[in-house]
Amino acid sequence: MDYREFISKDKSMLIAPAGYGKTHTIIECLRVSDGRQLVLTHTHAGIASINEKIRKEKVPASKFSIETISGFTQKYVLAFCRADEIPSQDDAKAYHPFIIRKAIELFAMQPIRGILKSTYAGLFVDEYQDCTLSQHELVTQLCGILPTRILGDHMQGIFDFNDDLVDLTDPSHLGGFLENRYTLDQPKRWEASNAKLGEDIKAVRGSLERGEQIDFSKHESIELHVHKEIEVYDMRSDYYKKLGAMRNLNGVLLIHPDNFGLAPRKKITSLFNNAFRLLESVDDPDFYALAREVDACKPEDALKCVSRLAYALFNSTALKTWLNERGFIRKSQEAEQKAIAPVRAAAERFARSMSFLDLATVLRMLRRLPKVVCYRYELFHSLVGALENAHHGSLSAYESMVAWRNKMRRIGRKAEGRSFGTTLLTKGLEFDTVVILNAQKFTCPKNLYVAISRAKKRLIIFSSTPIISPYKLKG
Amino acid sequence: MAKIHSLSIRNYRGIRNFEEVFSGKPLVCLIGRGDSGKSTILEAIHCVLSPQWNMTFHDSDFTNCDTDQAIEIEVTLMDLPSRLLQEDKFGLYIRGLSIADFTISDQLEDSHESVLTIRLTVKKDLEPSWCVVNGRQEPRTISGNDRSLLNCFLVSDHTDKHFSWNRGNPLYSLLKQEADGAQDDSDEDVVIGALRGAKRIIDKHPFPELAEVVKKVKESAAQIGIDIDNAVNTIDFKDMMMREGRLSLHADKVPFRLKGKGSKRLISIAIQLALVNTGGIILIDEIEQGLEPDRVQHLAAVLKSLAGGQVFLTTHSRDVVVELDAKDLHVVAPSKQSTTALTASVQGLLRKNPEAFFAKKVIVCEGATEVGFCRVLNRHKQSIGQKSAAVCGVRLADGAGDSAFQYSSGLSKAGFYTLLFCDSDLEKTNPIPAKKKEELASGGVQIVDWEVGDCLEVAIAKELPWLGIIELFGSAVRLKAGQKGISEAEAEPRLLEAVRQKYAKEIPSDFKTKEYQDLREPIGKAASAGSWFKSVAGGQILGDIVLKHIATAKASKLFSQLNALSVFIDGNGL
Repeated sequence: MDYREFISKDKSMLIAPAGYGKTHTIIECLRVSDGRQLVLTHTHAGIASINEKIRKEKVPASKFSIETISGFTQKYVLAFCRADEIPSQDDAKAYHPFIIRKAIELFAMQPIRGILKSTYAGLFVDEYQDCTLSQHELVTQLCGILPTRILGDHMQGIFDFNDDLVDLTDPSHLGGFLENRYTLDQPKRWEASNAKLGEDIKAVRGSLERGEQIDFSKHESIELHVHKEIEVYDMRSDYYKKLGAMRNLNGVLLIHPDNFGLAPRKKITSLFNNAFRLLESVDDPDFYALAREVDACKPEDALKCVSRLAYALFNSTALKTWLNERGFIRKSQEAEQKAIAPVRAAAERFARSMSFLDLATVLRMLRRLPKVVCYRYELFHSLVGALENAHHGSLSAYESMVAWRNKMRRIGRKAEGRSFGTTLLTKGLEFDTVVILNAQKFTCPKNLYVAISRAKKRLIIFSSTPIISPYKLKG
Repeated sequence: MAKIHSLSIRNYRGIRNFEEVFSGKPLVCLIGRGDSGKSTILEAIHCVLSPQWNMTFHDSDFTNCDTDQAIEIEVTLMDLPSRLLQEDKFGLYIRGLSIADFTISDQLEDSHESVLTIRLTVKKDLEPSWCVVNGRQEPRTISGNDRSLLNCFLVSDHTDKHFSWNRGNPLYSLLKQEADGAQDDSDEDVVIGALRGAKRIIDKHPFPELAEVVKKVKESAAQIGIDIDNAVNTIDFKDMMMREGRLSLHADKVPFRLKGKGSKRLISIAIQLALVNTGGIILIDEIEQGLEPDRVQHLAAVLKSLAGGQVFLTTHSRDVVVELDAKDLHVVAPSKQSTTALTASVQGLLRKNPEAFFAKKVIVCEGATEVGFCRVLNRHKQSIGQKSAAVCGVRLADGAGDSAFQYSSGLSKAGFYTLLFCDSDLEKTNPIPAKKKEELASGGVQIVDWEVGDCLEVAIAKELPWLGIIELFGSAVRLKAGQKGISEAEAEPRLLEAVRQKYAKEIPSDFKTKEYQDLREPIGKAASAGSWFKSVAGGQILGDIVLKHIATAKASKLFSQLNALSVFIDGNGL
C-alpha cells in the first residue's frame, strides 16, 4: 500500500479486517507524514494497543497524539463550556450526547478551528465502524479542518445498542471517503502463528459477507465439536469433558453468543468450579451502584449494607448460610460459630468506625468463607481496591470507583489466563485459543466474525450442527 | 508575534489601578509630564511578557510599598503565534475578542478573534508567577520559554546584554525565528554548536612557539617510560565556557557594550526591529536618549512605517511627536486610570506646536496677537514675583483662527487643562461660535473672551484709560512706519484716516489730550481691521500698554478676564 498516496488525500478510507495490519498502516502513515497527527479511536484498550506498537516502531512522540473520541471531545467541551451547562458525568445518557453535540458546535467556530489547525496536520480515526452517527457528524466537521483518513471494518460494527452506527458502505454517509477507498487483504496476524487458520477465517468472513451458510467442517484448521447445547450440564458428556480440558490451557477465551447479562456465563463457569473468569463490561452500572450504596450507608444500617454487597459479589447459595438481608444469622453449631465470628467482629468494627478500610477487610474475609465463590471477580477487585484508595485519599467511595474504573479503562484488559466473555466484551482482544460455545445460536454475522477472529493459534467451535446460518435477528 | 489588545495594572509602583485597551494598535507613544507613570507602564508590560524567569521584585515595587496588595499585571494578546495556540500549550485557554466592540468574552463565538490573557502576580513573598487566565478554567502557568515566543523586549538603559547570544535575548530569538521554518524540536543549540566549532579551530592551531618545550617534555616522559606522544596545546574546556552568553557582538575587536549610549540603544533597537518585522513587541523607554534630533526623528519615522509588530515608546521629545500621528499619542496622567489617546482634531497643532503636548496646561490663543499678549502677561507676573508659565507647565498654542476651537476641544479631551483665549467679534451675526464656546465650557475648557461683538482691540479700546489708548495709537504709528519704511509723520495720517472711516465724522484735533468716549470703539475697530497689532510682536506691545494701565481699570471686564488668564497660569491674580 502506498502510504504517501493514502495520506495525500483530503478524505480517504481504509477497510481492513481484524489482524490484517491496520495499526501497522497507521504507524507507517505517521512515519511518512509531516507535523503532528491526531489519532482518534473508541476505547482506551485501542489506545493502549496502538501505543504499544508505536513504541516498538520508534515513531517520535512529536508526530502524533492518540485519544479516544470521547476523551478528545470532552477536553474541548470542558475547556470551553460553562461548568453549569454540562450534565453530571454519572448521567451517561445525558452526558455523552451533550459532549458530542457541544463539540460539533465548538468545532464549527473559527477560533477553535484555529487551535486544531495550529496543533495538528491531519486526522486518523480508527475503528470507524464503531462510530455512532453523531460521532460521524463530528468527524465530518473535523474533515473541513484537517485531512481525514478513516480506518475500519464494516464486519466488526457491533456496538449497536444505543445510537445508530455509521454504515461504512453507504455513500450517503461516506461521500468523499468512498472515492478514495483502500483495502488490506493479507491476514498478517496469523502468518507466524497459524497461517492456515488465517486463511480459513478469511474464507468464513467471505461467506458471512455474502450471506452464505457456514460449514465449519470444511475448514481443517478450525476444530469443530458437534454437541447438543444441553450436554454441557451433564458431567459425563463429551461436551463437558472437552470444555473442562480447556481449564489447563493458558491464554484461552470462551465466547458465549448471548451478549446480555452475566447469568448464562455464570451458570457455565460454575460447572467448572469457576475456572473461567467472567469478563465485565468496563462501564457496568454495578460498579458505581455498589460504591454509591457504600457512600449512602448509615452506621445503623452497616450490617445490612455488608449483606447487600456480599449478595452482589458472591454466590447466594453459600451466603444463605451466613447472611440474610438484615445481617448475620445467629449460628448454633460451634464449627460454624467459629468460622463466622471473626467476620462478624470485623463487620461490627466497621459499623462503629464506618471506615472504608474496615469494610474492605470484611469483604475480603467474606470471600474466604467456605464454599463462597466470587463470580464477579472484577467487581469485587474494583470495589475493594476503590474502598482502600478512598480511605487513603479521603475520597468518597464513588469518586474512588470512578478513578479506579478510569484507570482500568486506560490500562485495558490483559488477554491472559482463562477468560469468559461475549463478542462485545472481547472486541479488539487477541487470545491464543478461542472457544466458541453454542455457535449455532449466533444470529448476527458480524458478531460471529468478531468472535472467530479473536483466535491467534486455535479456534475451537462447539455447535449443535456443523452448518450454521447466523442471519436471523432476534425479535 | 502577538500584539497587545489590553493592559491592566494593579499595585505596581506608582500605579494603583490602570486599565487600557490598545486593540493591537501598531504604535503607541506615551507622553506625559515626569512621574506620570509612562515608564512604569512599559516596565509592567515587560514584566508580564518578557521571557526572563528570574525576575526580582522588591517591596518598593508595590504601590506605597504596601505588600498586602498583590501586584497584578494582566495583558491580553491578539495575533498570537500559532505555537502558543496549540492544544497542549494554551489553545484551550483562548478567549474571544469581538471585532465589533473590542470586548472580550469567555464564551467563544464563530466571529471572535482568539486572544490569550497572561497575568503576572507578585504577592508578599515577592515570588513572581506567570499564568494564562480566563473565566472558564483554573489559571495555568506559562513558562519563560513559552513567553519567549511573544518576542517582547524592552530597550532601556541596560541594553548591554542585548549584544550577547544568551537565551531570552533578542539576538537569540532572532536566531530561533530564522530556524523556525523547520520546527526545532531538537535540543541542539546552534550557538553552543558554533562555540564548539570555534574550539575545534583552536584545537588545530599548532602553537609553534611552544613546540620546542613540548618536544622536550615528550622525550623526558619517554625516558621514564610514559608515552605522551599525542600531547598538543589547546584551550581547556573549563577555560572556555560553553555558554550562549559567552558570545557577543563586537565592532572588529571592541565589544558593542563599550559603544556610546545612543549607538547602543540604536543597535539594540535595530536587532529588535529585525524581530518585529515578523511580529513582536518592542518597548522603548525615552526613545530620544543619547540621540541627536535628526537621528531620533528618523527613528520615529521608521517606527511609524513599520509593517509588522507593535511598538510602545515613551518620549519627552518634540522631534519624536512631530513625526507621529495624533492618534498614536497617548497622554498619561498620574491620577488617571487609563491614558487618553489624542484625536485627529489636534493633528495641525501637533505639527506646528508639538511642545504643547508635553505641558500640563495649555492656553489656546486665537491668533498671534493673543500669543504675544500672553507672553507679556507672563513676563509681568515674573516681574511681580509670581510663578512663570514654564514653571507651572503652561504652554501657549497658536490656534490660528478657527482651529482654536478644535484644538481646545481635543486638548481638553486628552486631559490637558485648557484655556481658550479668543475674540467675540463674530458672535453678533453668527450663532455658531457662541454655541461652540458653550460646548467647550461645558467640556471643561476655560474661556477668556469679550463682550459679544468685540475683538481684543475693541475690548481694550473700550476700557483702557484714555492715556493708554493714546499710547496705543502712538505705538501703532511707530509699527506702521517701521513696516512701510516711512516716517511716523507720514504714517500717522494713514491710521487717522482708518479711524475716521469707522468714526464716520472728523476726528477732533485735540483727541490726544482730551478723552472722546465715542472715539474708543472706532480706534479699536480700525486697529483690528487694519491689523495694527496682528503679530506676536504687536501683541506684546499691546500687552505692555494694557498691563501698564490696567491697575486703574479694575472694574472692567478687561481686567476680570486678564485676571482669569493670570489665575489659570499659577493661581495668582494680577
